Amino acid sequence: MIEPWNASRGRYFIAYRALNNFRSVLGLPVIDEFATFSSPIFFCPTPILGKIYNAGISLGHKRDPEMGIDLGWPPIVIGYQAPVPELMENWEQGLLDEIMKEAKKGGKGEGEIITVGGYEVRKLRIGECEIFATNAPLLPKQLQRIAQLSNAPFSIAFSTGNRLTAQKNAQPLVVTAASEEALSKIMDALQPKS
Amino acid sequence: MERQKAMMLKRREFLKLFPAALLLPEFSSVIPFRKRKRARELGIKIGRLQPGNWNAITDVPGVKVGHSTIIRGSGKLVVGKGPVRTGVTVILPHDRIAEEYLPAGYHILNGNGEVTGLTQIESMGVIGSPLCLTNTSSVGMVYDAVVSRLPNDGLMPVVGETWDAWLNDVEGRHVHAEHVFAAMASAASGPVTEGNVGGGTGMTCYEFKGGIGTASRKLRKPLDKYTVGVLVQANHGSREELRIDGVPVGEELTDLMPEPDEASYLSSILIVIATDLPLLDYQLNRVAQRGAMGLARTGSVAHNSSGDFIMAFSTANRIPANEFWNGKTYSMQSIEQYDIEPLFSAVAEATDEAIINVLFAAEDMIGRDDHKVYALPIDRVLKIMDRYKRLFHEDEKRKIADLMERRL
Repeated sequence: MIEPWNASRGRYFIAYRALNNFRSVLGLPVIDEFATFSSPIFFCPTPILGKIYNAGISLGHKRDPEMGIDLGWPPIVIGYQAPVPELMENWEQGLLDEIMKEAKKGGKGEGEIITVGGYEVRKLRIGECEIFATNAPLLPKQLQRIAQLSNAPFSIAFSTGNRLTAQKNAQPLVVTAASEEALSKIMDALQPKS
Repeated sequence: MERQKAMMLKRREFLKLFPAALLLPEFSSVIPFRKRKRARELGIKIGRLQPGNWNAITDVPGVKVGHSTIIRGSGKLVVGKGPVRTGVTVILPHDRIAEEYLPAGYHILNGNGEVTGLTQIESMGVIGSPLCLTNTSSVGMVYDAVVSRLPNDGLMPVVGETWDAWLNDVEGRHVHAEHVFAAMASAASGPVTEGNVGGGTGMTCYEFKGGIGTASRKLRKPLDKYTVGVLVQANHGSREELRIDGVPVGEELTDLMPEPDEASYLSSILIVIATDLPLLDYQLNRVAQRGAMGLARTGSVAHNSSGDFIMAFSTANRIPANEFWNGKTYSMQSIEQYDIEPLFSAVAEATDEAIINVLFAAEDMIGRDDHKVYALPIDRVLKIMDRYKRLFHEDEKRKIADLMERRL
């Protein structure tokens, strides 16, 4: 699981790119429509995508019972090839407890870390999916260009550089974007090594 | 006085970028008066929201529109000579667009057409030039003209087309750089000339005379300080599809078909949406999609042969080009996604009315090989609308009754 952990109080920009009929993923239409997400990203064996999606819905409610369902919805769940684990009775509750515990604890995170222009990009491959996570303030189209750098069947890129929160009386919020030059430096640093 | 001075300065800056705009050749860039009334003036009130002052895309502060209209010759088509029934329409999002970019989005409802610069909008989410609407064969020339006046290493111009070959010597390519520059120079705020003007000169809409149309809406609370404006170049639709404010007008007006009746008219539409609501590019893609809902209200189903393109931009965030390219970061304002709702119905309404305004403004036209396209018969439309109880306000009804007595 990858969690931009204050997502329950806001959304982050995200983009993805799918190749070769990659289809083991749930939760994409809302990304297509709003270019944001506010859920953990779950990875699991493909046959249990639906079960984990369901657990993601439960997590949203458990994490913040007052949160509107649409704020933490939908879970993004990405499948990989692996044997289906034996699920014990009450497994969902166990999974949610574990997630909440880990989230409270925090951690250093995983994946390759690339520092460029004062920003950090973390790159992680899980199964057929490559994930780019960055604190650089990238807009959805910029994240799309990052996701397109990957040669993995499915890639996803998100930025914690802008946190989009609900505003009173429809007041505009301020969004920051990297310049083309800053984006180019990040893209150059992420180019697959030949 | 200070304001006048500032406006003069702005104009000078613009002419520095587009100096040939001062040369006015043999065509008309401004049509000073309007012969036919707009739908709203005649009691047809589409939707529930109020329009802006001009009921035009120019109600969005800073947005200007200019046309170059080329009408020349008659009789048999001689490619390269005419008859010519064409032009170019320019939408200037603001005077310094080449130096201060705007977030933009688009939607392709049916892609049998051309709009340049869409890959740039797809990739970078901005525009940095006027938007130009013209005929199919003139896209390259118009593009080249705009590029010649843009800074090096700038953004690609946005130039869209629809096919006016039924009335115009389209292969003769009669739109030249001076027409583009003149349209730019004539670009102004205020009322927009509609109908047989600019890029819409030779177009056909629901098999009546088509062309340019525009409308606007003020957004409802809490976004009531914002406006959305739409301009269309309408060249689409078959007669039986036409609906005005939900009334199947096209099913009743089965005569006055284009002459000779030997062509398919299921062509295309360009829709440009402008707003001062602070939006980012991906939100503007969503706005552009709602333009399609307005088009559908008039009866279109986006035919297979259609090039139905919708472009949307927001004037709220001006991004200095140097910051966009070479700074570290730049900031913009944006409405949060759940606050955008009031804009969607406004876009659909304004697009719907802009298309209807095309039909109310455009007049009969005879073009190449004496092909003829008739104008919408407004008097008959009003009778149909009245029968369906879709004419509003008693005082206006009285005026309309008088009008029908006298016929238009």
